[in-house]
Amino acid sequence: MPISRREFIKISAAGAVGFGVASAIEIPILENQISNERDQITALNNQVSTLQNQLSTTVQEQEAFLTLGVNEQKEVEAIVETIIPSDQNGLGAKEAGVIFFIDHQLAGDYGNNARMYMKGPFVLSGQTGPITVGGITYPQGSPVEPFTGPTYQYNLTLREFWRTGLLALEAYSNSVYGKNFEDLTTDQRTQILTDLYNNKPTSFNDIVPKDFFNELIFMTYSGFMMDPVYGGNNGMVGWILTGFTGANMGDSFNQGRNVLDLMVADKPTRFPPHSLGEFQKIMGEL
Amino acid sequence: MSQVIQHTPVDVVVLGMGAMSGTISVELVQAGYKVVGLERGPYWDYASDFYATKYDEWGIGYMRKFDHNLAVSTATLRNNRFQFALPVRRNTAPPGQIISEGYGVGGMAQHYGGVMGRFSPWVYQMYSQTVNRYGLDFLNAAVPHQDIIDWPMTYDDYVPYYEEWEKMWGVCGTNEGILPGFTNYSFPLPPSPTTPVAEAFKNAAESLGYHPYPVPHSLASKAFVNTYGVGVNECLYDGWCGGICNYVCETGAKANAAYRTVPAAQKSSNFDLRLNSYIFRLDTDNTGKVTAARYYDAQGNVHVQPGKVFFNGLWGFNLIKLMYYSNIGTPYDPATITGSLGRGPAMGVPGAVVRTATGTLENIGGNAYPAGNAFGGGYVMYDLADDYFDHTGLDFIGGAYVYFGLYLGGGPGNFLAFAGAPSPSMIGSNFKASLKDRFLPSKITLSIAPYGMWPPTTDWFIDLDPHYTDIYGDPLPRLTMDWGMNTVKCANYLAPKYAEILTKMGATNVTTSANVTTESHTATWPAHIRGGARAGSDQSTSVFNKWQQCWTCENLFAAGEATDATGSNTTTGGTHPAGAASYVAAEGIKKYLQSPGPLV
Repeated sequence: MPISRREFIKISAAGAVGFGVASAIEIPILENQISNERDQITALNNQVSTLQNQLSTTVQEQEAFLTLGVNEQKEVEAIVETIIPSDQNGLGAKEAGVIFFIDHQLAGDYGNNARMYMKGPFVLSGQTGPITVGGITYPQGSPVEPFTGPTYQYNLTLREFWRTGLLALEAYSNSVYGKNFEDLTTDQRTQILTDLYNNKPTSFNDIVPKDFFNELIFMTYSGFMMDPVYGGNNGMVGWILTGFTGANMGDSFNQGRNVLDLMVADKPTRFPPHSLGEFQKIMGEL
Repeated sequence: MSQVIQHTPVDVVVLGMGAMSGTISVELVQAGYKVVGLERGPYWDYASDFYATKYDEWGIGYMRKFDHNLAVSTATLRNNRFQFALPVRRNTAPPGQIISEGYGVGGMAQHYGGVMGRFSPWVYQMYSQTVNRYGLDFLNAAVPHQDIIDWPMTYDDYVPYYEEWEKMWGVCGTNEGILPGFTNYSFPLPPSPTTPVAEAFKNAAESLGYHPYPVPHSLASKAFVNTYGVGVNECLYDGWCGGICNYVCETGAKANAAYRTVPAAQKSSNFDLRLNSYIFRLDTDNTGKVTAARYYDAQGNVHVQPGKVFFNGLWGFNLIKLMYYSNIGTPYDPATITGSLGRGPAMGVPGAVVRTATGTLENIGGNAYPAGNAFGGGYVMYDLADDYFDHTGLDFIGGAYVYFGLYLGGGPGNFLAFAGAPSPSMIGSNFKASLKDRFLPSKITLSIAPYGMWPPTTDWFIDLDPHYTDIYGDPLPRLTMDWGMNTVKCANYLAPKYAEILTKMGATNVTTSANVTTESHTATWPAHIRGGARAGSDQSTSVFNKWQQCWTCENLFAAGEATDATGSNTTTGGTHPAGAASYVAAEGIKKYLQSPGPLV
């Protein structure tokens, strides 16, 4: 049975009061009493400490891979920490657990294109010349698509798109620097990613390098900025950086602010972010 | 084993339970008619379904967990008819592609921004007023290949229907006038309290000689009971609202049919709402009338529901594609410029598409998050919209309204919408540093985007795609559309004026995005599509008449943005003007049931 913070304080306070009312005559008994209570507090401290350890074990268990292979893990970790590094402005994508966001998304609906239209034919965007599809010729090719999320006209689930792109990226890295991406310096990694953006690799396993670049940027920032429930944005580092308050509507930590006040306040107010999980926990306790 | 299930006839069969269908259902049920409502999705209970789980940008903005699943159906898009059209495979938050159709009772209004506002008299007579004031040569030069038609009635004719809609929907707004020059009526609910940034905009605009009004919107600024006796909660102002990611509302304050009209219809035993009902065909007889609606149920059974009148309340593309599937109307042929079905689509431009002005404001007050209720709490000015300014000497028609109020709606990943396309500059510490405090009110980057004019041309249309089908094997709708040079010229004219307003507000680093020189359209497409099944006075260019009754199929009625003859962007979307048209349709259906036949 875990001990609540309130009960812990109550027991500690009882020890202090016992000392305060003691007379000199009763000192031996009191010493015993204090000693007992000290043991009790020590035991409770240990218990709390054990619970904390269990908690951190639990968190680490959530930080497990469901789909990214061992080689892919190293590569994705290197990609995300290059895009959002740890620096003087705070922790980066690696520490935020962005790789777990990406892994969990690729293992689920996102990676399986569960909410995407996936019927053929598959025709790439931005083709300028005449193209013929299903017996019909289109003199002006296909339109250019918008950029966010990435242009997507592939006959691949996003999981397979990532597998294909990651393999091509390692191959390209080796062709340029003779090393895997994760073994490159930051400058070299940035150069490789920039090459993808510029479609410099001439062979990229049948996907357009820039499409993969867009996906990497999109998913890295998403993992850094979306609610921690998805496995990234650990410790809400992305929200602390940007000033987003999450599901804290102004009173999550008893700040006593209501949202209408905040909306019309003539001075800006900064307050800490709150995750969806914390919000629901508060709601449950009401 | 799926089977065909025949139902007994009713008076009115309502297809899709979105905003317009809600009006028809409650009006006809209360007039004593038997109504069946068909909806493919669920009936969301905001207090249970949305309350705890909506504060989730990834789930809402990117995975679209409360919206239509594109695996079922989507649309294909291209700039012109000489291109292959690509299907929208993936919904993302702006500025990506969006198929914004809704899912469930309430439809897309479950996730809209809630901006309201009537179309101006000029919009209703865009063709004739423009020609009268500037001449046909001016119009043809401004809008190459223009295909503009007047609405079947004037603004004055629509006013009583607007008022009915506003009282039912709970439109909030100023008592300073519905539109500039119209002061005899005020919206039923007051506007929301305004944000400090909105006040800064108002002061700057006024000092430049403009006339900002509190923006009309449909996010209940007060608890109220509407004209059908439906009680509505007051907005919470938590900021997780319309904005960029299109959040559902956890209190029902944001108006949609599920929390305004359908509950009233459900009080009557004359109303039969059938969920999980996917409409795919209308059967017609040899007189050209609809005899029954066909839909799939959850087990794949085919249901046949006969009726006297059918109301097509489906969203944009779907309203049109159902008519194609059912061989109702004359399909538009761009080679000969004949036919009316699929003809004349136009667009409401969602922000950041054509040109924007951007600047940084410091210590303006308020809070970026939570930051008010979607688009409520702001000001809008019409001075640069429609024909409120003289176009003599200019080379375009129309304009754009300027809205200012919210900081950023719902969620930090919005930066993808504001930072622009992914590029190598987004790698590393410099870009990360630029994100620091990006969403705090002490340092806010503000954009003004033109919600520009997008008048229809003969080059643009909606038809059925020859290559792609939905999950049931029916063709996807295909949209052929571009920016058009009128939109481009308009945006180029307005962007510097927006920069001037930002500068006046005290913003620093004010810049405008690059001058646009091509009409080729590569950004957000179909979020605010309108037209394609227009209501008009001439059946060679329109599908519906002034009673929203189909010219070629007298017992089929429709209302929605798809039936807009033309549009403008005095509102972001078109729910408000379409809502007025839904009351026209309700009256038309009642007339028809009393005395069947063409209603003109």
